[in-house]
Amino acid sequence: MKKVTITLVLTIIATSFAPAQSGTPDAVSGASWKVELEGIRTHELHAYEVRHMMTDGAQEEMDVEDRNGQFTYAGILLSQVAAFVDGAAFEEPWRFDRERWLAGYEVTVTAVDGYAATFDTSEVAPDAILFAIERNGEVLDRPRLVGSVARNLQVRDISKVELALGSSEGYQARRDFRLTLVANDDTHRVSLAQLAESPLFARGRGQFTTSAGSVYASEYGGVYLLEFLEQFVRITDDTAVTFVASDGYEMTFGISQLRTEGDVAWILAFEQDGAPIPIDPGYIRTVKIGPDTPNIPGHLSVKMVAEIRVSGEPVREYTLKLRGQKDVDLDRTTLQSALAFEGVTVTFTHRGESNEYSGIPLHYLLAYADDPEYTPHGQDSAIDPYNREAAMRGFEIDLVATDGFAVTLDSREVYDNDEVIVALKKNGEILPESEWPLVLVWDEDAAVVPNGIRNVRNIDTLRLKM
Amino acid sequence: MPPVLGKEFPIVPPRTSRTYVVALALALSVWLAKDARAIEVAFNGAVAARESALEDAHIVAASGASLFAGVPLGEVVPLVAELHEIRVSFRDGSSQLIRPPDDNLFAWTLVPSDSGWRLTGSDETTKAGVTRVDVRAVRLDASSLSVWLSWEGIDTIESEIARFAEHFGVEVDSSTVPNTRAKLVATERARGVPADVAMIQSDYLPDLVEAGAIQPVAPFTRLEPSPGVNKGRAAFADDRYLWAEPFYFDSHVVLYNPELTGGSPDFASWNRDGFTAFARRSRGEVRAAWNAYSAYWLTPFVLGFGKESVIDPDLEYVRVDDEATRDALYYVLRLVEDGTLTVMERDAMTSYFVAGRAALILTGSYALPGLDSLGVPYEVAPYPEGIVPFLDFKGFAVSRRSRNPILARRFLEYFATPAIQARVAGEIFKMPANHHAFPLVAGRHRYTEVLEMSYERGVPVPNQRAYTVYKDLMWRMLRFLFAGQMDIDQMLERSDALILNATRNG
Repeated sequence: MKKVTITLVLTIIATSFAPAQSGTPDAVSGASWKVELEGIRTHELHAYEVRHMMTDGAQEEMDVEDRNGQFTYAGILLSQVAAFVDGAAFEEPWRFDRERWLAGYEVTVTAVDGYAATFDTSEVAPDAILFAIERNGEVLDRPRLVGSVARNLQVRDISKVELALGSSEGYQARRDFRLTLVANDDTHRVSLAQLAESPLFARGRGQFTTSAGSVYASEYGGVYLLEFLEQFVRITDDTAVTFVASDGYEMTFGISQLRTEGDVAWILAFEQDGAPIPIDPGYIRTVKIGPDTPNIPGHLSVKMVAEIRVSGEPVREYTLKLRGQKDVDLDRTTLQSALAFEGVTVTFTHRGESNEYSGIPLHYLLAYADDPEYTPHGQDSAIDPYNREAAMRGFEIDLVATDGFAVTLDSREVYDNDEVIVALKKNGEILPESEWPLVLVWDEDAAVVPNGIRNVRNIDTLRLKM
Repeated sequence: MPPVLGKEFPIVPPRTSRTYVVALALALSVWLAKDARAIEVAFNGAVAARESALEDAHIVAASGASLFAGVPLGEVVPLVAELHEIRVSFRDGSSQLIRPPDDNLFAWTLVPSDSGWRLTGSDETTKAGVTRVDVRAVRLDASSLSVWLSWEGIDTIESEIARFAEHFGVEVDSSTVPNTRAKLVATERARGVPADVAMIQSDYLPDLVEAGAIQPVAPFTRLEPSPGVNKGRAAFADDRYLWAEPFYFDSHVVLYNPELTGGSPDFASWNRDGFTAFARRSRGEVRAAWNAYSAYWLTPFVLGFGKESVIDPDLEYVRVDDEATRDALYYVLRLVEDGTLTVMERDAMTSYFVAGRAALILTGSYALPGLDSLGVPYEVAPYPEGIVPFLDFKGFAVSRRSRNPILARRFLEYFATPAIQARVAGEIFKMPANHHAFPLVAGRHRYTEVLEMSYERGVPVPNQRAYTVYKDLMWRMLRFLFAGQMDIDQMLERSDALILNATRNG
């Protein structure tokens, strides 16, 4: 049984579920916005992230006079915002590349009404511009820039910040690149930015050996290959995957060659040693990653991947309805992404037959609807999104199937119990029709088996009776 | 030394319609007693201009109102980055505080009236008797701007730009660019340095917006209640934003050689039948010529035969398998079959006309100054009833990566004022995009009346991608039709399917 990381799984659920056009509410202030950041990588900056940085000591203030009077603005420096995407770091803590800023690159800041202003960082000190989210202690609806800079740059209601980093001729090409996925007769196009933001993103060391015997090992970043493909097509043992490179090279894999084995997985890599892979041998190549730097023959590490062709059964959509203190609907991709990132596999025995089921611990799903205010990663990380008190006091949980069959469990026996899961896969495959889309199972050696638990198949609703 | 009100910009030149001169005389004739004319304009408390008597009225027009004489506030005070308020003091001791809806001072005008000065904005007018106007604003600290210009009349536009630069103490670097669309897109892709402002035409919008090369002209998103009336703004707007400030327009017109057509047509019956008869009775090697292969020239006929809008609002593509298109094609084909119309592309058609070999052509008003310079005998007529002319608007856009977006907007506001548009358009044989400025340009060149009539009945060239798809596909299909390789029904059925597919699949 694999251990699940609460924070990461629920981050996936939260970020996958959040409506496209609104940010996640800052529970402290009520501000709900997100700003697109684009640079070496992309990032969606939410209000709670900035607040978190401010409480962590990054808060700055500036006094400014505008048409309504004199005000004190608070926020973080724009250079700290740039740090998310200026390439000095690809994960927290975000390190600001001061040297690059002083050397100069273009920054374009765009407001929600389309107004845009551009400046060269070499002409502006890193501490000259404040990315403000408060004015006189009150939260702004959207961030704005203030500082001792030209009025042009004091953009209000910011929606996007772009850093023109990367070579001029490569920048647009990289931005315009689309990985084409042909699944059955459907064609899908995905940008590098979308891949980078995918919850399927992972990093690890991988290696390939050429026919000449040269060994190349690096740290790669990319999306889990199989899970990525499963977003578009049902993968079975008969599935074949063909990678087509931009120079025409093709390599076809049987699905058995691409399956995850323990901690070793294939990824579509677009980062190498912390930097985006350039157009040659990138933007995308296939590699295996794992804790012991798995090695593959060079010909299997397809570089310059431009197209992936897969034939298989089409994906069936479904929704899991959570009804409690909030009503929440989680779709297939949300649940599949959560599973792919770090799911739990249990051995469930039913009528003498044992099978391995992979899914999400039931108690994690409950956290999404167990209070009306907080959502996982929807507020400052100091705030616990789980209504532990209610769970410990006890409430009933109904797991309801599509035909109305229901089982009622006690939250006290479910809470913190990773061995009771809502499963999406059986023996590595999508559930059979008799159990699809979701089934309640538990590990045969579970320490706590909730009273009244039964193997509920075809689950479509979880009801929290609080 | 503060500028003298009205001295900076000369009054409209003498070639003015009689009606207009009378109006101006009336305006100037209602002068107040000397004291009542005294007015002070201040900027953040410091006097910027003072004039006890207005000598040269700067003629402007308010939107929705009739013509009046006045001075735009934006021309009296420095350029602003942010307009906070306008404090108005009156002769009777009262005062009024105005909080403008945006930063555009060019939209506020000091107007003399029979009882003293008024301050007039887009939506409001103060009472008379203004003695002091104090503009409270953040002064714009930008000092330079770059502009890409294209098409005709560049020398005149550059003169006006120089006037703007000198008046406001900014440096404006203007240059001529053969194709601003290509240059803006290429510059964006290469992360080069674009000009702050570029002249564009309305059908550039899909490429420029998609490339992220321009930014919306945010202060102007507050469109008039009937945007359809302001055709220039409709030309540069999509369902989200106004993407450029329209500056001038050209129109489809009928050009004819009276020596070959036997004089002018009977304008009392200037409709499609009258046009047809006029063309048929013309002499010359070619009676009528135009580029019938191009949808740009076909579409006016289609609209004239009853198509309500170029782009089908429900289906969002240019549908051609309809009655109006069919009727238009039958009409044009009949003219070809009976020898009235010789299909020619632009250069050949113009050569024939200049050489006196073609009696009548359909062309754009942009071609007219060139003909003048050749000394070719010609007359101009608007499209007749039953053929709807395209209005080809040019405007100023702000590049998305402009380093001076606020100064760029002030530039656009300046060039949006009726007097400036009229002055430039009058010199370069265009019409101002702001239709309130039409009286200001009336008679300033020989085509103003024709172009004004064209504006009344014309439609802007569509700015949607769907139009470009339609135009590009029809170019090939119309050739098959005119070559006799397809009949009308076949051609329309095939074209409709191709256009729909190409529009939907990008």
